[in-house]
Amino acid sequence: MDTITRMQRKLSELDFDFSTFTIESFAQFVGQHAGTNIQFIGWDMPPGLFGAWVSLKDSPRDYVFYNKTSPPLLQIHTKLHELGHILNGHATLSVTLDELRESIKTNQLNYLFKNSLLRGESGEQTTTAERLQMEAEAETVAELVQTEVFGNEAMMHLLTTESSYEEADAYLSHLGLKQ
Amino acid sequence: MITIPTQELFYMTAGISALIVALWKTHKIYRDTSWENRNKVIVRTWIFCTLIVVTALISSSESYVSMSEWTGINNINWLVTYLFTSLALYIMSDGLNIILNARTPKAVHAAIVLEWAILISLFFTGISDSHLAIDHVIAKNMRELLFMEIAYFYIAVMCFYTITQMTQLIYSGRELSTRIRWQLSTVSPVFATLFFTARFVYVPIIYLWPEWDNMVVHDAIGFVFVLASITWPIFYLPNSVFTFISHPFVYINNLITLQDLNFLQREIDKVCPRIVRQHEPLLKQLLKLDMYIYRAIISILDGKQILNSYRNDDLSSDLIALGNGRFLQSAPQPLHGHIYETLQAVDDSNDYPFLVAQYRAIARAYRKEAKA
Repeated sequence: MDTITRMQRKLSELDFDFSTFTIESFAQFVGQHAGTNIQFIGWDMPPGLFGAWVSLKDSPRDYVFYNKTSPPLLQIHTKLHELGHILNGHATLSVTLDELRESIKTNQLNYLFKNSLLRGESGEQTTTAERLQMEAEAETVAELVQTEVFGNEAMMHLLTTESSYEEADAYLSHLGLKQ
Repeated sequence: MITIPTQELFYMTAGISALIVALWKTHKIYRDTSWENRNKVIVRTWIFCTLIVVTALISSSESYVSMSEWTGINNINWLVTYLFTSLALYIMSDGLNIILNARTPKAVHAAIVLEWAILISLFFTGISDSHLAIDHVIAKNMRELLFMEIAYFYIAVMCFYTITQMTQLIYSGRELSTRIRWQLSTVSPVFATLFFTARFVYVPIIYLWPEWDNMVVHDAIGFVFVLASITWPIFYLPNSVFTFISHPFVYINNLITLQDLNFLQREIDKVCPRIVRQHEPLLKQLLKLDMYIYRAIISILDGKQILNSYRNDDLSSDLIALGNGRFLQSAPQPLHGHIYETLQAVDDSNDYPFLVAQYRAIARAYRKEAKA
C-alpha cells in the first residue's frame, strides 16, 4: 500500500469533521486519538528546523514547537506536519517536564530539538531513508488535511495563526515555554 | 427610423433607478443598530439617490409649470435641479473618499458652497422673475448664460473628479470583482462628464451664434445623457453580480497563476526536492485550482526557508537541511544562487493574496529571464 493510501486510511479512521476545522480543534482531536494533550509553542527554532515535537515522559502531554518567525501560512503547515508525525506514532524525543524546564533555563532547548531527530530514548540515529519516509508520511497527512479543509470551504483557517486558547497560553507562560 | 430617446425618458429611468436604490439603502440604514455605527458610505448613497429622485421628479415639463405656479417663483425647478445635482455629486465624491480612506479636499467643500451661493444669488436677482422657460439649452440673457455655465462647469468637474476617485479604487482593489465593479462604475460618470462638458461648450456658442443651433447636436447630447442615466445604477449593484461576472476571469487568472507557481516549484525542486510529489491528474487540478495554488505557495515557502537556513548557517547533517516537505541534500551549486536571490524579493509577511501575486510576478520574471 502506498503512503497516500495509508495516510488516507489513517485520516478516515480519525473521523474528524473538517467543516469545523481550526488548527486548535484538529490538534485537540488528534491528541484525544493519541491519548495526549497537544500544545503549540512558537519558538526561535535553530536554522534548518521548522518544527519539533517533544513528548513528556511523566505526563500525557506533547509540545509542538514551530518557528515563530516563519510566515503564518508556513506556521500552520508546520503544525499540521508535526501533527502528522503524532498521528503516525513516529518516534520523537521524550523528556520529563523537569528536563524540559532545565533545558529552557540553560538555553539548551534548541540542542534538544536537534536531538529530537534521534530515535526516542535509545539515542539510535535514524537513517536517511527512515527519516525521509517519516517526513513523507507527515507531509502527506498535512496535504490531505489541507485538501479536506479546502473541500469544506474552511480555507481561511489555514491562513491565520491566532490562538483562541488563552488558558493554554497562560499555562505555557507559567512553564516558561512562551517567549 | 431610429428615435432618439427623449429627455423625459432619461428622467424616468434615472428617477426609477434612484428610487429603487434609495429604498434598498433605506432598508440597510434601518437595519443598523445605532446611528453612530451606521455605515457612512450607505448614508451618503441614500442621500445621493434621494436627491436624484427629487431631481428626476421635478424635471418634467408638467412639474416645471406647476411648481412655478405653486411657489410663485418662475423657473424654481431650474435652481432646485442644479443645486440638488451638484449636492448629489458632492455627497457621492465624499462617499468615495471614505472608501479610499482619504479626506475630501478643502477645495471640494469650498466649491460646493461657492457654487450654491452664486447660483442662488444669480437666480434671485433676475431669473426667478423672468419669463417661464422649460428649455435649459438656450440662454435668453447673460445672467441665464452665467447661471447655466456655472452649474454645467461644476457638475462636469465633479463628474470627472469621481472618475479619478474610481480609477484609484480600480488600482487599489484586491479582488478582481471589486476592480470590475469600479471599472464598470466609471461608465456613467464618463458619459455624464461628456454631457455636461458638451453643454458647457455648446450653450455659449448658440447664445452668441443662434443660427448654429442644430437639433442633431441637441439629440446627440441628449443621447449621451440617457446613456449616463441608464448606466449609473451599475455603481449600486450587489457584490454578487460582480463576483459572478468575475468568475471566468478569476478562473483563467488562477490557471495562469498555477502554471507560473508550478514553474517556480520546479526550479526550487532542482535545489531542494520535494519529499512528496503527487502527480495529480490535470482534470483534478483544474477543478481545485485554489487548493493547488495554496499547495504551491506552501511548497515555495518551504524551499525558500531551507535555502535561507543554508545561507545563514553551516548546517551539518546527513541531510543538509530538512524542512516540512522538502530537503536540501547537498550544498546548492552557484548556479542555483540565483533562485535564492529571486525568492528574496518577496516579503513573506504579506497577506495571502499579495503573497500569491508576488510569487507569481517573480516566477514570470524568472521564466522570462530563463528563456532569454
